[in-house]
Amino acid sequence: METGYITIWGKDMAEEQKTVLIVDDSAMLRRIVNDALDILDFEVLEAESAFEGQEQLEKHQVDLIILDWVMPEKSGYDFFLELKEHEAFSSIPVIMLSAEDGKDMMLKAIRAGIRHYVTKPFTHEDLLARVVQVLKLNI
Amino acid sequence: MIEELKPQEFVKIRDLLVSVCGIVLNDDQDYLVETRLTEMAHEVGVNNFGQLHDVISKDKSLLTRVVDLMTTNETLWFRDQSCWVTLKEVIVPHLIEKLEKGQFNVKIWSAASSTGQESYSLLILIKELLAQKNQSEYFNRFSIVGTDISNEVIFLAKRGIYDPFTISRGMSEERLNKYFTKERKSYKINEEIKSRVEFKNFNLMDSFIPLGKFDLVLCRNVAIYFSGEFKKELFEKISRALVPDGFMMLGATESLIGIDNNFKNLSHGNGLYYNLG
Ligand SMILES: C[S@@+](CC[C@H](N)C(=O)[O-])C[C@H]1O[C@@H](n2cnc3c(N)ncnc32)[C@H](O)[C@@H]1O
Repeated sequence: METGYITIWGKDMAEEQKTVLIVDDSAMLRRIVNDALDILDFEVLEAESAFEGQEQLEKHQVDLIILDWVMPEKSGYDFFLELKEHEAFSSIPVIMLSAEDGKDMMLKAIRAGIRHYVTKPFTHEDLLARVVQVLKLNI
Repeated sequence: MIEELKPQEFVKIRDLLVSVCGIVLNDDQDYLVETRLTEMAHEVGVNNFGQLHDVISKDKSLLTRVVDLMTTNETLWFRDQSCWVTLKEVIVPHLIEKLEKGQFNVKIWSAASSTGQESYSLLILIKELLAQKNQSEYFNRFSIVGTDISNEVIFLAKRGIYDPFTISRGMSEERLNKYFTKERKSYKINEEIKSRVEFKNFNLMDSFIPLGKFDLVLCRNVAIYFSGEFKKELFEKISRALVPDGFMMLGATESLIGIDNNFKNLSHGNGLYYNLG
């Protein structure tokens, strides 16, 4: 794995480059999220379905999954429930992206163990702040 | 697994937030508490919100994280045109004049800096106005302190790297070429601009005395979250953090109406700004 450098409190500290997987059926959204993550110098993997996401997870070690709720075939939510049952993947944090800002959907996701929930349209400031927090980049 | 939020736990957390952080939650925002604080409950190892309440009420660093989670970090370059016209035509020229009259340096505070766009926009404006007047040598006499309660946004502001979409929210092509360097797909603010700002974590609930005095305070799009009582205290503390002829600016949709304060309202076109009269 490549090594990236992240400046923390003015010091250069060698940090292992983090890998983030984006699972979303919309190519445009994948690109927006991928671009947003570019500033943090991650290795970014993309998948356009839960099925492809699963394949990526089997091939790569992933530190964070950014998952779209609504996708044809298998929803992001159902995919998340499957990952939770899977020993190798159950501890990977998930940020759920969803246009459904309904209270019930959000509660359902959080009660199922999703770490963070970002509603579309989301601001990059909020998405990146959550990513920094989940991966503890600022500590 | 964390137990679902019970109504009496919501009331306890809401009361704690308003009394210690000045943040107001409405009755129907119980789901926000549950959706945004569940992660924290996991992290501190409690299994219900009653216990989370007890832990955060004793731990100030957790409380500030709660405030961060309950507010948005959205920001833009040169946000609200009327404010920037006022900065360009009235306030920055006044600050430059202070230097011309012999003041040694000008100190500015961006009191809820989020990811840094406000501070960097202002430095770009200052740089341009100085260049127009052939006074570029004054640039290093300006300094901005950008503060925010959120560690995460401070981390991002210090990096000063922005993705194309974020850049597109208010940064012109011309300024982009002039003040940023392309890094992969993103844009990094140039060192000369960056060197004039220091970002740090700071909670507006705390005393402002350690920060010193400022010629200009930008307190934009943050007071909206606070209770009336806390707003009053906030503006009182800002008035004491200003030099006698200092200025304050709010967001374009904000005003001091209904808040007991000692500021004088001033206007320039559609832009409002304040001084101590
Ligand atoms: C909407 S942003 C405003 C950014 C910028 N001033 C602007 O107008 O574009 C509000 C910021 O206030 C910060 N904030 C909220 N409560 C705060 C507090 N008590 N002390 C310091 N910052 C706070 C949030 O973390 C957020 O980044």
